[in-house]
Amino acid sequence: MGALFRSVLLAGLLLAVTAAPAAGRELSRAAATVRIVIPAAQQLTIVELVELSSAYPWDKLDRGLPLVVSDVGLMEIQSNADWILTAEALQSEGFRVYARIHNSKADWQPVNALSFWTGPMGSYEFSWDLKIEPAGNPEPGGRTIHLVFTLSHI
Amino acid sequence: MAACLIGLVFVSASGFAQREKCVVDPPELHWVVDRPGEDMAPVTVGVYRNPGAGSGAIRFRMTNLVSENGHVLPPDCIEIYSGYTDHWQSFASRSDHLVLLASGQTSNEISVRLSPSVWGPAGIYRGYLESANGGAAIQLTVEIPRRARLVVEPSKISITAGLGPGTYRTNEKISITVDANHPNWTVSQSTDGLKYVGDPKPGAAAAKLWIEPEQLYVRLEGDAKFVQNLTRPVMLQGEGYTGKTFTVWIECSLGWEHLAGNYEGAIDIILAQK
Repeated sequence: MGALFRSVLLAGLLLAVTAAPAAGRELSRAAATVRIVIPAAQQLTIVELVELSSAYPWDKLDRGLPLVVSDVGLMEIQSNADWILTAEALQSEGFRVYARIHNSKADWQPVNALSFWTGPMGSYEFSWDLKIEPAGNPEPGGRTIHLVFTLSHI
Repeated sequence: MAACLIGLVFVSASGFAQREKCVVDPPELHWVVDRPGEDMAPVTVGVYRNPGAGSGAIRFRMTNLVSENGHVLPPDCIEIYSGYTDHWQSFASRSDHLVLLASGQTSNEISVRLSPSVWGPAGIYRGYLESANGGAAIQLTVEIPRRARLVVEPSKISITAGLGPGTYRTNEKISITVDANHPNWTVSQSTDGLKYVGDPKPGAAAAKLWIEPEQLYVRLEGDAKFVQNLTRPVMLQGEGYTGKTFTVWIECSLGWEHLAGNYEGAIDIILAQK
C-alpha cells in the first residue's frame, strides 16, 4: 500500500515538473490593457409563424366562450441584454386578441400598442397561447390572424 | 639551398631581435561594456624600449577583436592618445599603424580607451594591439554582457464587438520589440481574462461578467498558422543577435452569454532570459 502511494506520488510529481512551463529569469515586463466594448445584440428567429386560422363564429361562442389555442408558433430570442418584446396582430379587425407565453403562468395580455413582454439576457425558445374574442360584430367566415413581433433591449 | 638556409637564419634572428625591442605594461587590458554608448575611463599603458634595442620608432597596429561566436569588433573600437598628437587616434584598418614610442625615446605613457560606440552581440571579444617592429603586444579583452530590453506599444488596445457573438480582433496591433544582443530569451504573453466594468443591472447575476483566457487568442502577423489560445502563456522565441519585433493581435471569441457592456483586463508580457 505504501509502495503504491509512493509510486502515485512520484508519478504526480513527475507530471507536475514536466507540465510546468519553462521559465527563465525575468528581465522585464510590460502590459497591454485590453478594453472590449460589447454593444447590446439581439436576434429574433421565427421558427414557426405565430398565426391562428379560425372560422367565425366558432363553437361555444354561443355560450360566450372565447377561442383559445395553445402552443402556437415557435420563436427563438437571443439577447446579451435585458429584452423587451412587443407584438401586433394583423388581420384581426373585429376581434380582441390576447396572448401569453406558452407554459408560463402569466396573465393574458391584450395584443395592442401597449402590450409587451420582457426577459433577462440569454437564449430562449418558446411558443404562444392565443385567445380571441369578438369585438363588435365581425364578419362571419374564415380568417387567419398573424402576430408580428419586435424585439429590442431595455 | 645554402642561400635559403642563410636567409631563414637571418629572418629568424631579425625576428627574434624585433621581439625584444620593447615591453608594455600592463600587457593585458580588459573592459566590460554594460550598455551601448557607455563612456569608459582611459587606461594608462607604458611602452618601454629595451636597452640596446635600437632607437627607431616603435609602431603598433590593431587586430580585430573576435568573440567566441565569431562576431567581430573592428580595429577602430580602440582609441589611443600617444602624446605625439593633440588628439585621440584610432586604427582605421588592420594595416593602419600608430607610433607609440617615438624614435630616440626610451619610454612613453599612452592612454587607451574604448570608443563609446562599442557595442554588439554578447560575447567576450579578444584581440591584440601589437607591434611588428617592437616585438610586443597588449592583449585586449572586451566583454559585452547579455542585454535585452522590452518595448510594448501601444499600452492600450480595444475591441469593438459590434455584430453580436463571434470572433473579433483588436482594432490595434501590438508591437512587441525585444532589443537584444543575444538570442537566448523568450517573451511570454498571458492574461487572467477581462472583467466586466461597472455594476451590472440587478438580475444580471446569471450573466457571464468575465471573458475567460480560453476565449482570448494571440495571432501573430506574418504567420497565418500562429493563433494560440491564452489558456496558457503564449511564448515567442529569440532569434539572432539583433533583437526582434513581433506584431500581434489579440482575438476574442464572444457568445450570447456575455452581457453587453465594457470589459477590461491586461495582457501581461514578460521578457525572460533562457
